[in-house]
Amino acid sequence: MTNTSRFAGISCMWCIVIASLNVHAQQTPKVQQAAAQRFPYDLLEAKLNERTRVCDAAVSELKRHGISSGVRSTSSGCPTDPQQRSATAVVRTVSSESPVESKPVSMHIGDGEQHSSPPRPASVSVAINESHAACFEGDPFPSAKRCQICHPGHYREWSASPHAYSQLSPVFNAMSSALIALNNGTLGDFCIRCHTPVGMALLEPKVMPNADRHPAAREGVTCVVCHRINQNWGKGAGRQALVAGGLNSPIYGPVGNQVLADVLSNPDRYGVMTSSGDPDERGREVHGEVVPFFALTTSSSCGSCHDVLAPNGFRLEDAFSEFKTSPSARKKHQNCQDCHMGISPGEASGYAFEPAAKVGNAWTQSRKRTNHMMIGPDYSIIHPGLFPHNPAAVREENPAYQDEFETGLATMREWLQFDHEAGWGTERFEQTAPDAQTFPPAWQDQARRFRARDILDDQFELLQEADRARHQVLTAGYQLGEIILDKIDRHGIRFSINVANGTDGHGVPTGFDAERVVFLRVSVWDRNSQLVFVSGDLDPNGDLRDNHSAYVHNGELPPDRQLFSLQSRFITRNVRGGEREQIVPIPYSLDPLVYTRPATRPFTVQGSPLGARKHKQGIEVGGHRWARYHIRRSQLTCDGPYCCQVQLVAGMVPVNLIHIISSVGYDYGMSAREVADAVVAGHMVLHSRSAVFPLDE
Amino acid sequence: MTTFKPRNSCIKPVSQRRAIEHLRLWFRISFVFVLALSTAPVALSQEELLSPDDFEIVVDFPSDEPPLWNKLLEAGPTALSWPNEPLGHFFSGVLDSDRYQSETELSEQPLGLQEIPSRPPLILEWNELFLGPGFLEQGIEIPTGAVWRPSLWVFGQFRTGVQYMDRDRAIDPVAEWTNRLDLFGQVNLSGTERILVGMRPLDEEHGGDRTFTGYDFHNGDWIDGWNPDFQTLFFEGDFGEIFPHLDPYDVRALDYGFSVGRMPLLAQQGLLINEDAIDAVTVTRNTLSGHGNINLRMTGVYSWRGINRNSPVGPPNDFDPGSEMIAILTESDFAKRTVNLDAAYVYGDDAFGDLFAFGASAIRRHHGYHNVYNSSVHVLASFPDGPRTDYTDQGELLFAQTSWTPHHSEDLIYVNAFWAIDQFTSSARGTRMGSPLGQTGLLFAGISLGNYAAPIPAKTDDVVGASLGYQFFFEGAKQQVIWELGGFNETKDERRGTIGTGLRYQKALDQHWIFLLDGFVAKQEGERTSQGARSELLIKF
Repeated sequence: MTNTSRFAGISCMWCIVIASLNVHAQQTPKVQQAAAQRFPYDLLEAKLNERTRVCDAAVSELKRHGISSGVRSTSSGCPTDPQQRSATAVVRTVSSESPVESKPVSMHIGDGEQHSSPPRPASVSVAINESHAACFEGDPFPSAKRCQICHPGHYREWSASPHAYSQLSPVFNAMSSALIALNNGTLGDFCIRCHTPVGMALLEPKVMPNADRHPAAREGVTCVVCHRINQNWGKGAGRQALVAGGLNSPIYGPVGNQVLADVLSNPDRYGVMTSSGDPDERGREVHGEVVPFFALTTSSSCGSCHDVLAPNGFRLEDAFSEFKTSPSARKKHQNCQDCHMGISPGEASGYAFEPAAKVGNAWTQSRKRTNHMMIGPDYSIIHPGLFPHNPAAVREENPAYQDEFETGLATMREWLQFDHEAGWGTERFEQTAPDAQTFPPAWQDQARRFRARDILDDQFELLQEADRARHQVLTAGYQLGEIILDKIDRHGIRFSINVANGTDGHGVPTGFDAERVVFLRVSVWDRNSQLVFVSGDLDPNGDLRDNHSAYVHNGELPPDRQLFSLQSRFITRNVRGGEREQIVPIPYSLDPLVYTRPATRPFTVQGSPLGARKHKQGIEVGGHRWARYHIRRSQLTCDGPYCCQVQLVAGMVPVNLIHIISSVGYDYGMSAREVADAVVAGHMVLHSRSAVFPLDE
Repeated sequence: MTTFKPRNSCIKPVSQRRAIEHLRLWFRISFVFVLALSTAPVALSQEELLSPDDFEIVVDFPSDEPPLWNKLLEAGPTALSWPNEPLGHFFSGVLDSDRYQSETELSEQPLGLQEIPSRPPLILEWNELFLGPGFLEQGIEIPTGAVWRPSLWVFGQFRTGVQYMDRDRAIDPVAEWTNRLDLFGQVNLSGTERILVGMRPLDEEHGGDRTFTGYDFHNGDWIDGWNPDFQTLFFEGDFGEIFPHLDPYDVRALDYGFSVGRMPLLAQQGLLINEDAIDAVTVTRNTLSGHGNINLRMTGVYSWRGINRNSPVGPPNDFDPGSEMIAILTESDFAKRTVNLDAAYVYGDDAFGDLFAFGASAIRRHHGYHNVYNSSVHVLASFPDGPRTDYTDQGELLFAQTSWTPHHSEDLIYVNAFWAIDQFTSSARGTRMGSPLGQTGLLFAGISLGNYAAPIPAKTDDVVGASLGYQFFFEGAKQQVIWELGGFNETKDERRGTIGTGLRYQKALDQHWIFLLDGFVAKQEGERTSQGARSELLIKF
């Protein structure tokens, strides 16, 4: 289908939507507004129908869940702040036909206070109830902020997690786009399928501003990505089917229905309802069933995304495969969750035992409670108003994505205009700001700036918490020995230091190890504080001086010949002359038109396509590596003794990657320089050692 | 963050960089003459080109001057690098196209999100799109517990070429229009399980040769290579993934990869085994580690229905219908290098004989003071088990590849060399795969299309040779030029030498097409000059 006909089809569908809503608008005054705010199922359906060749099943799946059955009459009425939301609960109560039944459920989310509410006309109440039903039911992939209402603890942990950041990351998006471009479009959704399974299921474009994505798509690996999986897909490289359905549809969990059954059997205590279709039923909506899904408790559920085998045979990541051959699995019979979802990140120290949900103001039964921060080496480099996810911060810009849970202060684009580094919203700034200071329209109101600052203070606190967890998990992953002086005399100094794998579950780094920066920064000074030796320093771009540094590659800085780095390398085959390292694994020396197609030879045998592979250079399970350094006589000033400091530093990605993928542009209006600076600012010193080398007189 | 920056700063204004480039070029030219007259090592350093006052000193950095031995080691590559710049400029002018130039500094200008190419669909995509967005269907749980979502993907490539070659007196000149279609259908079952079917309907294998559909201008004949044979048909999977219930807690490493059927097989970058269709079963274990080995992959291979045998001497590679082969192929990543150790034993018919052959290789990058040098060194040997035949002989092959990328470019300069002692014999080699020495250079390799053979065919029969090549990239990498110089010399009997030079131009057009031009001139001692040229259009889908 051509773009023109596709556009025409979509336009027609929108006309039908608007026309239908106009009909309903004659019945209730708020319906037209609702039309713009509801999820565009028809658009989704239209898109799916365009691709009936392959998506019939998808359409039937959506229909099976009753979410693509044409236009529905909906109304908005979705309040935008907690007070209104509390009032909504009351409205739902009083709008019921039985005022007696309303009393037990007139509790309010969060504070437990009881509010009285003036009676409404019955028609308005019905319309509001319908709108709630639509909000809950209609969306095939509910946003995490809906889950947050009953699972605030899980949400808070997840909101600052790498999973939550996966689709927001400007580095990821640029890398995905750059690889697609370098593969001449053939890479398709290989990368982004894991990073936003919801977005891909909704047929969102691979390249679009995150601000315009569906909320659940923007949330990356959001709640439904794990809890709406009902089949054990194994090493599927992220191509598992999500089960579509509204909030009332079953979810899939490790334990099953036990706790939920208790909740449902105590409607007076919890005030819940499992269906939005029955006007006689009142209460807080909840998933109708928790289906026990055993695979969710095993490592294979992680391995479905964390063992990345491309269809052309390229083994991009094999964290799960590493784990399966590790002592952690084979001898201790542990799983990924034990170390990454337990009480203490990076060690199998058990799980919390506490309620998993707070329904209204009543906590559910205590049970094994997993930590959903699942921290890793990535960190946020975007505006703190956008990440961690915070329903109080971000308001949906697209009315179609707004719902009754909309409590956000500003849209993503407005947040990007909020200059938090200048101190906007702080007492000091606001009291000393000159009268001539101008603000974007969204931030002209001082009270709004103060409110934004309050939100940011919470955001920074959570980011710091995530940083502490990151430090903890990375520190557990690496062990740094003491500095050992091997030889010292007037001909030079030789010393070494040992770096060991601190885990027994996988190599370090693991996963996306070809772009993980872990290195030793070594500095030696003489007694006059003159630097006589350095390794692991950064070039002006922020790169290590390895052969991927643009400064080194272009001969503008000497290479760091004694650099100790644990970053694996992408290797591409040359037309002749063996192989060479490249920042991205695109074998263009071999082929001017690089294509990704299924491997035409067994990828198990070859382990990689003919054109590219990965040379793993990390530390294997149970392994260690010696970093050896030699300071030559010519570098010594003879002003001994010398002081040596060694730091083990971990970063997210190398700046050379940021450089090479920058041609496709970064989201949020960021430049390559800004991205690089933020990435380097996130470098974390995991371990540090120092020593004094006495020079013989 | 602590950032250390160099005392001997090298960060210069653009105008000065250009001046340096010119000076460097002249310096290199002078250097070659100096090198020819004297063996005294002379290293090029930026400090020698401009005085320190010419630089903006921005940082403080401990000096790290290369030692003399390192200067000596890098003198060779530095000398070989000098033609790269003028050649690149020349080709850039001829093609009227910009060369790839890598920028040093990060841009401070936000670009905004740029458009990217759309996904070119396959010929046929049934059920799930190949890497296409959209709602993914539920899978089918098979009795073993595995979840499969069957999809069918059809893809391939078509090559058509017009080519002329007049190589030596023993072979008729080639003047032909020839075609080849590689068509594949994959029944994708899951992320690890699949069935792949492949056909080459326009070229047919018979005995030790292949016939490509086309027209022979030399004899005025139409050539028919139509055939319905399956070139590839294998199932591939992961044992642990097919039987997940055997290890429900994922604590037993049952992930053995395996494949069974007719498949291509490669070992030692094609030096030891290079078969395009072999009936075999393979079992692979990967992601093993320990004792400094970061990532080990091991594969056991058993081939049971005949293989194509390599001949290091007279006849071309030929099919041995009664042969069987067992092989072990390994690849290990260590901190600095990748090591491949492969061995194969072939049981053959009496006319072909039994053969044991092995190969060992180490691949790594060497970090010099001026550049990074990619290297791979292969040592291979073959031993007949029984009487020697044309397809079973004793010999060793030493093969080395080196390449590097000059500053400010993505260009590639490569130098490859080999030394075949006695008659090294590959374990298995496809009919048109020629000699193992095709890896040496474009001049040493056939193109697997029609009768256009390797311009300077070297067999692993007491011979030593080398190639030097320059690859230039334009328009990103969409347009490429490769210029190569190569030759070999026999080390026994007449000790005849052969030398040749070749040029290749290739350009990607749109999302599907590659246009390619090839040409060469070669001279073998005692033979007249041979030459050839060809043009090809390759379509990927």
